[in-house]
Amino acid sequence: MSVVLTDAKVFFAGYDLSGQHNRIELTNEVEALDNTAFGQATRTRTKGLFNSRATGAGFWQAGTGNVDAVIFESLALDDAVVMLFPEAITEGATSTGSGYMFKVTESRNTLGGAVGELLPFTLDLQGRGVGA
Amino acid sequence: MITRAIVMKDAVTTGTTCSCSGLGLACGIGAIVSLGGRACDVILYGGLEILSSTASGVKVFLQANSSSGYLAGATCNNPGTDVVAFTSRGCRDSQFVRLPWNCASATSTHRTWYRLAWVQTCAQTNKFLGAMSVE
Repeated sequence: MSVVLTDAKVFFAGYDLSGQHNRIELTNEVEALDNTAFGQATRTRTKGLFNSRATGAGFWQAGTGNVDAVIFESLALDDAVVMLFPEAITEGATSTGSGYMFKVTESRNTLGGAVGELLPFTLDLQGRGVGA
Repeated sequence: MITRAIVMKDAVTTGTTCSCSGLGLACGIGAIVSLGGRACDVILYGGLEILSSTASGVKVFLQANSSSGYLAGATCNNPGTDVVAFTSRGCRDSQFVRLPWNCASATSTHRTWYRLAWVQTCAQTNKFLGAMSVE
């Protein structure tokens, strides 16, 4: 059953930033290493390192606990956890409580827009593995 | 590496008890959830987002069932097997862990069920979200 993305939950570094996001994307990938050798008719590949990334966007808000303070101060912080839930959260549920989590380093945030528009921001979170 | 997660405790729920241990929802703590589990040395992932707390004000336990664990007990006094214990480091915090759970003594049924519990300073209000997954 399709999900209409209306109530996604975005948690980052102990903050619930859901109400300030209107876009969230998750990338989960593994490098495909080319191991093609002489004598083969097609390219062959094998898996390499995993990589993960979350990017978000929304409307800038200042103040304690809002995106301005959170993502500005968290740049380069590499001990943060991001949790994303496509649907509303229900405690202990497996149908509407399912989501994704990983440790990240915030690598970039941007701010700016055109006259007459709501001031937007973007957020780039790079997966960093699970080590301390 | 991204892990799929199941919410074990809703962030918007606030606990004000001195401590709690017990059989999942029956005692008002995080739900017992079947996350599956294929074999021994199951790889568990635990995540925690502390949205409001004082430093060291709340400790959150992600627990796994075992042959002597919480599902085997008939009362709220059996805390099960702690596989992850997070302690809040500040009013805002997030923590994550990956670890193999050695459940060699457990039966196949006991490798399936997990829950979340916590202890906190008496009458304090903490808000957090705990999630867990199995590789």
